[in-house]
Amino acid sequence: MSPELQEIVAALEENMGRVVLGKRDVVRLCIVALLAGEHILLEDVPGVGKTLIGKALAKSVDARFARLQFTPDLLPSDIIGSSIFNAQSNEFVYSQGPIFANVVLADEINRTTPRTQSALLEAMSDNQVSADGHTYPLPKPFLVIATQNPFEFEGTYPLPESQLDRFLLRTSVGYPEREDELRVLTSHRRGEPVEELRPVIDTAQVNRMQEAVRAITVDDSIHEYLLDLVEATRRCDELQVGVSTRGALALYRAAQSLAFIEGREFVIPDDVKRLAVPVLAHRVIAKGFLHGNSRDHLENIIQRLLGEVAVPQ
Amino acid sequence: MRRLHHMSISREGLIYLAVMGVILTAAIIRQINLLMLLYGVLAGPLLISWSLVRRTLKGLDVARKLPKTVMAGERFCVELVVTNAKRRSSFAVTARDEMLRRESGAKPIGTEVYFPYVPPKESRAATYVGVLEDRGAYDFQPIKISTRFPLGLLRTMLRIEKPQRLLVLPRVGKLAPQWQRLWKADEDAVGGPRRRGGLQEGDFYGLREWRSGDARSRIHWRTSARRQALTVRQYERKRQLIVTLVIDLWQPEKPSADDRRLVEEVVSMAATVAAEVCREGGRMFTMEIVGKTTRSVRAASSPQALEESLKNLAQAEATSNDRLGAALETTFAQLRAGANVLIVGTRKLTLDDAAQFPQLAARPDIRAWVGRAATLTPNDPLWRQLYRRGESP
Amino acid sequence: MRIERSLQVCSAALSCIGTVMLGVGEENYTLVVVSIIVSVASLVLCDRLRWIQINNLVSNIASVAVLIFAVVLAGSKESDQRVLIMAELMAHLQFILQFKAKTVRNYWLLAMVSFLQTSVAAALQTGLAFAVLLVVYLFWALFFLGIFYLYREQLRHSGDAAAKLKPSRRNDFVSRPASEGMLDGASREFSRRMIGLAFGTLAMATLLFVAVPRIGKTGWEPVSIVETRTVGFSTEIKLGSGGQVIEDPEVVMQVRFFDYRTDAPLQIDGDVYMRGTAVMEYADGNWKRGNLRPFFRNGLPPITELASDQGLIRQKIAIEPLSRNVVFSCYPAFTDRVEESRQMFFHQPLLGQITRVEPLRTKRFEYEIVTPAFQRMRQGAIVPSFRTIYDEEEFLDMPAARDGRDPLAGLKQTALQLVADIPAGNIFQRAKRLESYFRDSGRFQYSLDPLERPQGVDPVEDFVVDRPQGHCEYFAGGLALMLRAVGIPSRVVLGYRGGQYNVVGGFYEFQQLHAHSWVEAYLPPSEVPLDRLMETPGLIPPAEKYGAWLQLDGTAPTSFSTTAVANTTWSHIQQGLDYVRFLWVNYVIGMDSARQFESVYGPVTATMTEVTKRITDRSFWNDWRRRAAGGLRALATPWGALLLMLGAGLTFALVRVMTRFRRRSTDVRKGPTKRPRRMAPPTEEFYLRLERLLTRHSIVRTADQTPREWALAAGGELSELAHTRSAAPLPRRIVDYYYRVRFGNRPLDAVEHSEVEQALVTLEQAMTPPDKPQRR
Repeated sequence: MSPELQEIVAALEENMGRVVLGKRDVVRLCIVALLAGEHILLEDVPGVGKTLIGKALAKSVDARFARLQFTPDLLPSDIIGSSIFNAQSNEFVYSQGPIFANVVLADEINRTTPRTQSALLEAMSDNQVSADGHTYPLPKPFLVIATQNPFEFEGTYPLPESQLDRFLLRTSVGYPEREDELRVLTSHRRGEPVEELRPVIDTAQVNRMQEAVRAITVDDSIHEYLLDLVEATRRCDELQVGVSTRGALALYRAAQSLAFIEGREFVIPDDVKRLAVPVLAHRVIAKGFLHGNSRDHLENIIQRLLGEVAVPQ
Repeated sequence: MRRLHHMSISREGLIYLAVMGVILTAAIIRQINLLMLLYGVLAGPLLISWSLVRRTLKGLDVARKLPKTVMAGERFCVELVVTNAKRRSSFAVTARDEMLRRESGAKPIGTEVYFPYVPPKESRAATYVGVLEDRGAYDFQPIKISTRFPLGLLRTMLRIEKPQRLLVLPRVGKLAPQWQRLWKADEDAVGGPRRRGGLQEGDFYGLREWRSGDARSRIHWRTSARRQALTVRQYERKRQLIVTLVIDLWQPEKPSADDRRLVEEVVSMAATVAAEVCREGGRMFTMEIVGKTTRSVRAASSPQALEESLKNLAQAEATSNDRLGAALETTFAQLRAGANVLIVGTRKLTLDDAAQFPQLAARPDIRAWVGRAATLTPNDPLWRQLYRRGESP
Repeated sequence: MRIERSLQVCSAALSCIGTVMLGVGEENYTLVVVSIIVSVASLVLCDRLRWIQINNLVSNIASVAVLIFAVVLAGSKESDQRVLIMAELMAHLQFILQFKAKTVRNYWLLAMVSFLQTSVAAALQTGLAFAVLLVVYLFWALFFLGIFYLYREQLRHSGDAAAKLKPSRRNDFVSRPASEGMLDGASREFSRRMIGLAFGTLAMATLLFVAVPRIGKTGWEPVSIVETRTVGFSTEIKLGSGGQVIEDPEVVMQVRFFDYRTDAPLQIDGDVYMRGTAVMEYADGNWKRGNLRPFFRNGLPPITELASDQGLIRQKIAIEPLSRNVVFSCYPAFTDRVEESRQMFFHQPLLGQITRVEPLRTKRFEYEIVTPAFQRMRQGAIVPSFRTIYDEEEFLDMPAARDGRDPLAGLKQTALQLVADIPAGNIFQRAKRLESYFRDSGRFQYSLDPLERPQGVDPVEDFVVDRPQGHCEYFAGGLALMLRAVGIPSRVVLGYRGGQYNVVGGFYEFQQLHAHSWVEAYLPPSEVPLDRLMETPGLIPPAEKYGAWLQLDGTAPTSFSTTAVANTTWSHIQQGLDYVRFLWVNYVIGMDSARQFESVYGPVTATMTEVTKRITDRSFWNDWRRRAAGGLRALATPWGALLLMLGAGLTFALVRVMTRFRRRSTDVRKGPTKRPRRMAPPTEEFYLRLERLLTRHSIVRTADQTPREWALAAGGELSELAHTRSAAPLPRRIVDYYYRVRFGNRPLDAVEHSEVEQALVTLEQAMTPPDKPQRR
């Protein structure tokens, strides 16, 4: 791997870390998603910096950035754009929606109607938008950072399970440590620091890195380990639906990406283990009527399964 | 957490004791020292297992992991984790976990879970799966862990108090399609500028291509003709559907089995309606349960609201006191215009009967609701058309 | 299922040993062999391969047949034998059961049947072999019970699992046992527990056995249902007939000696002569009792007949079941319990023979006899006669001449020549001369080999004149006849000589091979050298009055190689075994109320009284307090304080080390619980070294740990101790290299290789405790 790319990754991480205080893990996961060419879902209570993280990443990449604030009255066309009748030319002209950007921050995605949600999710999975019978490709790289409030809060439309797996990983942010929180207070003395961030990486570099990530070596034993894990979720009694093949592939890509970020040319079992919970937990459905969607519950199950599957050595 | 030790002798142990007695008697009567030796060899294991069987349970603790909520008739899984804090392993530990439905007077129900081996300083988990038929709050009894290790002659039991409660939500059944259509008609986001129930229609928002399911009346024909493709008008939705559900849990003073079944059916129906309403967002849901205690839920429709409703329904109890009149009075008084009111109950109601509901008759401001509120009881023929009871998965 | 396998093995072993015990008990070795074959066959053919499995019908028919056979057989036997028949019936039923498919019920039946056989064997058998088999049986039985219990529990709880966790009924629950079955660690610990349980049981059984009071004054002696063994002691001598004399190591008796006055156990110098009986009449190589006047007395003479009890020794003798009534003792025999001895013995003073009253000889016989026979811990050669010798000619009887030829002419001539220079009155010297002729001249060879002696010649004459080679009876016969030839009354005594002194147990053990014969010559009162009786003055008056018998033994002492205790390991083992047998016979088989009081209750009460006395004794406590005060004062000095601190520090360090050790030991037990499935083991040499190194220090990777997590855990562990702290990052570094090789597929170059090597060496050095020298 060229040390140049390596430096850029480090710089990106460092840049984000400057505003996102005490959340190195989350930052790293965001970069994992970016380099894997997939999307990330941040889930937590309001006010812990979900949006900040998304903004920080967007600002650090020299790319087109769009922010979508999802509300109950947001319509699909607000996202993907719509055809407007041009009176002069006497025809419909497609005007692109905000989704045509490299980094899209989809804030509070569960506050909008399922119909609007699905418009976004379709775009995410296909990397293209269809409108009025035409297909418009989305720019590369294309990263959606969605945030959502846990659905225990009122006034939300939970994302359907079937669509959750469009996200590479789902993670919570969590409250910062006390000292980090103190730093947050002091750093905000003069305005919002995130606004002062300078981009450290451009889209071309991101594309090159994404290609490099796919070249990361994965040993056969890691394949086995990964499949063992996936199989364990399918055999698990507490789960109704285990991890799909798409999920397995996602874990594979994410592990490659993490290895790249950590400067390795090969995936190690630790990568898989580290990523299993954020990558897999939202791809399984627990048994039972109501507690099935609880993130803690699912993450606990995955964590337990990790303890049961033998690690290659 | 209180622990109680209990030691008893098993059936095998009794037989063993009897054999020991026979050998001792034979040894004494025939005065044979080798039989005496045999007696000693027999007595040794019994005496030592007396201490071993105690030590096997020493340092053991049990934790129970419950699902957050369980539905009646739905399979659920309880995990028992036995942790061994001592420095020796424990073998063959059985944990008996029982739960008792509140105020039912029935016997506790439960099962045994077997832990063949719990290594020192480690824990082992085992699960049991079960189905509870009846909704309600179940209190877990102390977990009884017992063992007969090493030889099965003596048995020790340890009662570990782990007070926990499991709320079994009422069954959620299915509503017939016609019911769904009834509700859907009111809430379609692409609704026309019809005036209904004092609701104002949203402003015109824009045009978009036709999708299946859109009402034909929304098609903007002129644009469609020009574009050679169906195009519909979109309106911004402003209105919010308000659903108010009143559940009347009345039963005679000495209820028969049929009366009880009726109550359960009503609760189940209410749960189904609640689930139906809350499944999709953007509505205002109010539920009033009129039973032994009056419980109410008011929330924007959300899974949270559903959970809250089901929890309340789970614990609702029928009463022979008639409080429906008073409850309806307050409910109707708070209703906003445009609300849909449904009263589900165990008995046939005639709301405009002044004798039965003097409160309603006396208040002219709410009399309008009396006419608009729909009532439904299990004995209505419509009930069976609309509602199908959920089957056990 | 591993539990079931183990259970099958245990069950087969249990059945086998139970039947072996029965077979050995009734000396039916066919049963032993059959049971071994059946157990092995059933284990392999029925349990493992499932080729043969008897169904219920066949087994029922076979059982009924066996039952009928047993009943028919039992009808024709005595009641004692019926027990045996029933026990064998059990064995046969067991054989049938062993070939049935094993259900819980069948396992129970097998266990019961096996136990019944063991009980019968216990009633039958008295040998030490039973003890050994019982211990083996105990171990297997405990394993069987333990595994059987686990098996039943597993069976009970796997019923649900079979239902695939589908609760069917209303309000129903099904459980699934914790996923882990019996793994290696578990079965190891289980075995440890069971072995511990077995040892505990042994201790408990011993305690119970010793402590349970034996009711009844008599009894508690084993009664053998099986016919008694004949032990080859004979009251006659037959010389001249050929045939190899076999040295039979069968134990005949055990003797312990105690000081009469103090009851202190004693060890005797030199050989011990246990007298059985005497023979007088000789003809053609055969010695017989002769026509001695029958003169019996009931019981032994009381010690009051002796003028003094000085130098008396009490002998406690236990004779194994013998076919004859003769009892053995160091003669002369007296008793201090006259009444009891009347119940027990007939005494024939003229022969010096004691026989027992009780005709039953199937039991071990124990008795006490007081004897004045010892002078300075050595058995005296001179024993006073307590009677006038009436039939003196009986003791001088020689075979008559046949066909005018004296069969003992050569012998007589030799005897007369030997004593020619000693005056005829000096009987003592003459007798000693003749004794030393046989013993010291070097002419006579002790040999057990049979020698073909010519027909028509007297065997003793042949022994003395022509072929001076033979066993003790030739020596004794020759000497006795020579004595008679020179006119000294003599008789041949039959009994046992020597005995192995068991240092461990403090007893003499006599085996068949110690059987011996010697000679007694009569000394008239005037000829008795009274100075030799000074140690036991009680013997002087009868000697002065009646004369005495002089004990002569012509057999060369060197011939008894067995009496000289060789100081080899083998002999130690032999002695230990003898002692165990002694204990077994005396304290297990023969434990009765008297012995129980003597060996258990008595000492325990004595100790308790002593302790109570000590505790209640004020002076003892005062003394202790004074000493403690002195110690405290000593601690007040600077040196004392230093010592105290040192002690406290040491204790603290010890506690630390112990807790550490504990933690480590539990960590070890955690071990890798699951082996990685179908994953190739690592092949990198340096990683394996790291693994070995850390494992040696109890840092073991669990299956769900990645190597890096493991290395970090190791680092944490290392950083806890001062001397390893510097090495804490090393495992992680080595694992990172390993990762690169293993998962990155990039081998190390030379520099990296040496770096890894360096890290490993440093780690190894750091982890070697500073006080221990390094291993390489």
